Amino acid sequence: MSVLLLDSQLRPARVSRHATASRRLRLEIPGLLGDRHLARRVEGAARALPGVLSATADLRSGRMLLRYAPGAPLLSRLREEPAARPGRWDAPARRPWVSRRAAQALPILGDGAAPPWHHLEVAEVLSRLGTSEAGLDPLEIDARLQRYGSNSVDQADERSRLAILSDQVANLPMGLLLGSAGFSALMGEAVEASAILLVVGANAAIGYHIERKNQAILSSWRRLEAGIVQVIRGGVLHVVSAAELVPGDVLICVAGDVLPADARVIDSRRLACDEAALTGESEAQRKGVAPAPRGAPLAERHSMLYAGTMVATGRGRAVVVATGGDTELAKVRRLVETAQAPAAPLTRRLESLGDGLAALSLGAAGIAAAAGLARGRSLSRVARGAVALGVAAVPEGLPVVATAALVRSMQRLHRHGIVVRRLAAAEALGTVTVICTDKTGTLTRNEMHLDRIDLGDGAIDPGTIQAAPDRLLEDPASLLLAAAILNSDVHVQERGGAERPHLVGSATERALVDAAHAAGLDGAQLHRDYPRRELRERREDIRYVLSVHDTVAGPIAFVKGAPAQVIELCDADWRGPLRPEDRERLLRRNDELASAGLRVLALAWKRIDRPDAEDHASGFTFLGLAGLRDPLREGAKEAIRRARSAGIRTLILTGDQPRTAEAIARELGLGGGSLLAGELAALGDAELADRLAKAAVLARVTPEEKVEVVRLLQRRGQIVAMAGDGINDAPALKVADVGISVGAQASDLARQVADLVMAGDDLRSVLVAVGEGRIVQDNLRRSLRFLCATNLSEIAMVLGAGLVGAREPLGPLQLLWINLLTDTFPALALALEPGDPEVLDRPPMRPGEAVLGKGEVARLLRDGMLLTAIGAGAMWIGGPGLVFASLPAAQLAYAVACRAPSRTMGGRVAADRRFAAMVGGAAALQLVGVATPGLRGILGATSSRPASLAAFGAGLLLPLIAHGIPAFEGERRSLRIVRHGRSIESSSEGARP
Amino acid sequence: MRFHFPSFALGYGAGAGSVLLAKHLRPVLLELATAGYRFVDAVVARTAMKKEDLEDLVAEARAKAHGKAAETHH
Repeated sequence: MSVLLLDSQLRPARVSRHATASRRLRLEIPGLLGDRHLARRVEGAARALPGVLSATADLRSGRMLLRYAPGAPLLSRLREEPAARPGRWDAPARRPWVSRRAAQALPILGDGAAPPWHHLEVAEVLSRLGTSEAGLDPLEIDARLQRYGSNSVDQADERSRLAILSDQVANLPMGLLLGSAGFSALMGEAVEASAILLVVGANAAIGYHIERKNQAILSSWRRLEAGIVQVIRGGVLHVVSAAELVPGDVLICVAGDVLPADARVIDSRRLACDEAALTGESEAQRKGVAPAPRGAPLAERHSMLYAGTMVATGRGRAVVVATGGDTELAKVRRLVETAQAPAAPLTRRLESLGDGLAALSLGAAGIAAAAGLARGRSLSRVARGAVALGVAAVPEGLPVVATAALVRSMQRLHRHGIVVRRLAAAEALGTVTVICTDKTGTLTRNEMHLDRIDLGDGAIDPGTIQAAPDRLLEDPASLLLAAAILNSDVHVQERGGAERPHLVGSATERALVDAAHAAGLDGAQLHRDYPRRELRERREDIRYVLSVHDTVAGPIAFVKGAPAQVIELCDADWRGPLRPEDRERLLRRNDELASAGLRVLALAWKRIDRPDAEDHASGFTFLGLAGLRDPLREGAKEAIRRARSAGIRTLILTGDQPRTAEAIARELGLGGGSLLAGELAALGDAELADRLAKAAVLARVTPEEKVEVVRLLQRRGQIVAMAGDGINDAPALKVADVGISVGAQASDLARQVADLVMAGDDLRSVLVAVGEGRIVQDNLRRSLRFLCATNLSEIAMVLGAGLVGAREPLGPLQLLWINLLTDTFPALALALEPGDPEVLDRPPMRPGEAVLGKGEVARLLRDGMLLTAIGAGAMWIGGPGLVFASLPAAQLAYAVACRAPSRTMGGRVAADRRFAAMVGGAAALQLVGVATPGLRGILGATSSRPASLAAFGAGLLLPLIAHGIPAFEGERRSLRIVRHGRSIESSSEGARP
Repeated sequence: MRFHFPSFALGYGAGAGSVLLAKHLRPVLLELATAGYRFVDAVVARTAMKKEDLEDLVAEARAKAHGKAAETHH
């Protein structure tokens, strides 16, 4: 139970403890923590209550103790109330109860117990909400605001700086490095520890900077949608902030309004809403007062308006039934919050590689320590050897290299108008095997367009029609377009500077009016010449709109609507009277257009002989059929074709009608059947998977079902990318391996949860991103092969020396120098290599495939042993000093053998220069290390300078001789591609070195 | 005192780094400090509440015991 102590108190106090025997009452008072002034005020207010003996507020606990006398019946009846959010102290109550009588009488809404508003009659809705068509009493608003909370939905939290920073450090490679740094510090090796920490800091700083920059870009895109609304309160029209809406408010809706809350329609005048963002329905939905069936899905509740959707046409009134967190929009948001984004494939693979390296490092360190102790070495020397092995095993440069490859890819994607929000997603794209895509707004433009006109003798392109405004009634095509303008309820808003006027109305009527304007008709002039006297809307059984207009020659009428009914009204067309076979011909024309996926409307007109005639059910002259469609986005068809050739399947998930979705699938060239979401629940897992494998379209899918389909595909081992733009796509965007928000008009929520955000509408960019992901994979594989082989040679050297009792060939600081500088630069160059031109002509990497295949592991073991042999030779000839000079040089030369094939996508010259600069830079650094007196001292280079230089030269030459010249490697790879065709194995051997 | 290059490099790096990163580090430090304060406040609040709960418990027990005793005397 809660208590309101002060008038100015926004949130009531909660009874957190009531000890009735001792008559002690503990009240938890919001905002009391540390607020002395509030403490004094509530103490004063409480002491003034009858029966209160003492009141003591505690600033540390935020609670007040009330002790009351035995004769205080009001206080003794107060009951304890559990905390609103267990575990979160002083969390703001979402829906506080108030002690006011008025507020206590308010109905309880939401939380699953909400009545089926769409199914109830208007009178019952008003009665249950305690309101009327004249709206709420303004005096009641405060109580309702306290009871139901303000009408706002918490924005999905942005990741805090701290969270971003901790993510950069909390991973296995960083953990191993931090462990090595700690161990070095314990051993008193301050320089080593500092150097390792410097690497950790640099990696964290790079990752942090990138993620913050992306977040800033996305924040700048966020649209401000909170606005003002018109409501009726106490019979008077008020303009209030959308946040102040409460259940029971009567909302005025007009075309163009974005709805601020869920509401039940109580009055509709051609009211229609565009609900594509919430349900995926491509056409505006008519809204009326008639109750919808109890079990109707969201998309078919024609008596309801939903927050976040837009009024497309008409006007009306609706009573608010849910605000803030109780709206359907908020429920989708909650679904997003509870969904877990999967780890990126790269992260998973690098984690398993890291685990392997850690195990190798520990095993090698254990063997070396045991051998050292058996030989009677001191503990400090054994520990130094263990640190050396730890440092040798970890590819310290890997995080920098992986980040650089991903950042490079991110930059390239940015040039294509794609912002990468989660860096690893850039690589995950390369492994995608299925692209699930929303239809409305993603594959199509979500913009109706007049595609075909058929005057009864064949379809023609409306773009070829030149209207004749001066002889409208004689020219059938001009009259059809004029009828489209006069019979529609579209408002034209001229915008200064804009090329075309802005049209407000339903998508279908906007498309008709737009086409008529494009053909040369002047809508404003037509409305002046043919003023509308009457407009009769569609009804349950009458599926056409009738308008009556005055002309100089007497009134005329137009009808526009369902072809079967309109043709039934006609007894002639422009050629003459309609015979039964003519009607059949027109109906066949209608079927042809409908089967091509068009939404078809028929138009007809007639002169009205008697001005007082009321019945307009016959005597019309058929004008023609208008076929409309939501056109495909630019590049959608090409994108699907390229996805297929890249071995990626495309599946359309839409909330729209199956017929519309199937037509789009056909247009896109997607083979396979369609499945209705309703059928999914009835199928068993095996059958569902089988049907899903064959389907190209899933229609009438809710946000929850989209999530389920994505998860089902993931359970079957697929790597799923989800492309969408609406609020209803957001949960699936989050659970998919890669979520892609498409288009500038994408909802804020979709953009917030997506991994990749596309600013443009061209879907081919998605395939460009997939190609980039594959290039990143190839390059990371090259870098990994290089880093693993070089680290292996170092481990083998250190471990081998420990086992045979030789001197330590490389110290921890020398290993760090090699791994951080001379190894990282070539690895970076390999990570930035240009891509294979056929990167999209091969199948994706098999899900679960290791980052390095068996063949690659065998090859890197062979290469690692070759490098070890060079180091061992140097050790035998001149001791540890020569190893430090020759082994890094050999590793640098080995980088040349790891390069991409010479036949790559553009930029080869730039790549060659970059590679030469980076490897040359690393070689120069190594030369400085072995030849500069100061550095030689720090690094412990013990051999003479000429011997070191000679060893350096020999180290550079030997791997090149062993591996052959790079051009030969490239040609050999190209030959393999041709020989093996396009199988995964051949491409992994051929395109991946 | 002898010039020690590694110490000089570390000192210079730390100084230059802090100047360059100050703009970015400040918000992070602010969040870190805020989180710290919140944690301390939560611990203090929890402790105070537990202490109050204990007081209530003792007072309730005393009241019940005395109530029983009074009833018995009567």
